[in-house]
Amino acid sequence: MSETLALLGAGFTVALTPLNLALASVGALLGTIVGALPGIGPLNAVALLLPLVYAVRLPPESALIVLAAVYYGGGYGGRIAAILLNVPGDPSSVMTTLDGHPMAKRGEGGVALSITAIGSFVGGIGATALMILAAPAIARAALAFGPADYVALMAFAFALLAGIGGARPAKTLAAVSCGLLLSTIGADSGTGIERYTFGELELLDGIDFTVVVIGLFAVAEVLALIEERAHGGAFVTQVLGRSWPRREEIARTLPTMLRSAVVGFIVGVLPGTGASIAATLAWTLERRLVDREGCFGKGDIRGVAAPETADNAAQTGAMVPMLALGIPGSGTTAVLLGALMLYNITPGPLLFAQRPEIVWGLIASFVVGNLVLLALNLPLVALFVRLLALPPSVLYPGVIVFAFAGVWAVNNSVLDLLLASLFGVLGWAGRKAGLPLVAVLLGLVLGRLIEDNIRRALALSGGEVSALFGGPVAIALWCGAALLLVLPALRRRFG
Amino acid sequence: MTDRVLGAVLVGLGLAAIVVALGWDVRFQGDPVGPKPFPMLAGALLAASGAVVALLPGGRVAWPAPRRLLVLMAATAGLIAYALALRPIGFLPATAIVLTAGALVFGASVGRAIVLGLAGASVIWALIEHGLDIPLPAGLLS
Repeated sequence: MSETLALLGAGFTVALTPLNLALASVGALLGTIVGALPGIGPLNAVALLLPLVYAVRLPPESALIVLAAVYYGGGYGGRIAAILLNVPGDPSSVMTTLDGHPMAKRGEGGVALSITAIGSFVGGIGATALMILAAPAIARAALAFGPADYVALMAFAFALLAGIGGARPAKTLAAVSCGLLLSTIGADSGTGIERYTFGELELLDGIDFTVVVIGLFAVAEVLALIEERAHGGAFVTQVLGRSWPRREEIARTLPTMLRSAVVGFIVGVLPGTGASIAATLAWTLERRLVDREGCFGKGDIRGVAAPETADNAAQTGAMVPMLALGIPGSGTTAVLLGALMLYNITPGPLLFAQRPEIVWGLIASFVVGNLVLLALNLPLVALFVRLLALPPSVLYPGVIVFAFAGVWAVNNSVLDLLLASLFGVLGWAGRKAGLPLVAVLLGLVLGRLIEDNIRRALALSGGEVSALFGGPVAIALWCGAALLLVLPALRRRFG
Repeated sequence: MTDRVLGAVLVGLGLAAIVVALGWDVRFQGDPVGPKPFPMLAGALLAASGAVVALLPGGRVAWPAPRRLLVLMAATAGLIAYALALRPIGFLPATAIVLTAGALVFGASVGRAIVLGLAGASVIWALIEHGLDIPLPAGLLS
């Protein structure tokens, strides 16, 4: 424990350098703004920022600090439109509308906003504390994993995503396979054989991760908005009312927040589940536990606090498998993982031992960032509310320009821009057809690791394929993966 | 219908990936696996899951009306034109045009769209070129 505290202390010396402190604050502010803007969402914000951060040559820990701050800052901003306009900015804010909007209609929008800011803070800080306890232990346990165990672990993560990720399992697996195939493009590291490059020299190094992310998410999002003919730009006429909660309101919601932080953290740690399931679960659980009068859904302050707390706790929880195992739990952590790989840093349990400044600097920056967010969000909420009035004609063309500028910044390549456009169209069509794009991303970031580990495992065994299923850890994970894929189908048939 | 087409496309992609991989001429492989099996495995998984999607289709998908689809195709053509124009005519002019056209697509008036295009392009250019010190193509303005 004292060792952990010493490492955390060292992390704070990283997080509190002027550059990193400024980056955490700017990222947090940017995240809140983007979260508040309709239709962009934290994943797109992180995706748009990634190439720029890389192109200005920030050191890796600083890059992660600013990207992560945008990510959890988005959780603070997402609630504003949900509460005031009844428009959830992303799936995880759906539950916030249930009690938040009725409160706003009663003229208590200000209280709902400040309580959710406090809830997001409790969720973020609580989950960070749990992460400090859990992540090093998980990483230490995973140090004993051999290559075969790794392959099984990643298969388990995909099965979890397919089994409970929300989309149809077959479509999720198809999307994962697309990502795996994308990861093989380029010269093979072992033999130099050109795979799927079609003689294009620029593809020898593979397709840049940023190109795929920006195409599949930012560009596709704008195409979807063109399709919906988004008009947005809603002016908020509602009176916010008083914006500081009373002490008894905080006392009443605190137990809910603490429970929701734990629920959110646990759900967030599981790959493929993510913030929207955490928010739903926390809200449902609190309704069972504390709602004796049947007020949930009609503007109960605890009903606003629960999903927002769980949402932010889940976002932080999703960092645990990413940092400790090198396996992202969500789309945004997949992008963060991709960021590490841009810096040629292989994520995984060794990261804690080899690059403690990155891991602990990032963890310490969560504390800093959440404090900044609380300080920003309580007094400045009226300012963020104005963002809802920004018209789409300003916003969405700007997203495209930032997307292109970012892709350009990485390689100065026209081919990359064309590929990003292509991925944009594919992403738009795929999303309409129910193909989960996050699964493509997971396949893409994990593809090379899986292949390397398979090849390493079979090199050790002299080509004996059964080595992939040797050892208790690998067997347990493969069985778990199979169960996750088979169970939902069985339940549909016999349940 | 969507799922049938999607499934068929996925099967086609998976099989194509396998066929292409079979054609690789591997003279030396440093390990017992080599570069072929993993992409073939991924291709097989893609083809198999695509087949499931095609054979057990889910609900209907509301695709946009033909006119909206035309707008989307125009938008895609615009993206491609932007990509191709960036180097020859430069970031600032190309972006001004894209922002103006984009503002029109999202319902701004012509005058407003032009102002937005010029002002927005200048701000973003200054931010990235000078604020972040990332060089952008100068094109006509060089």
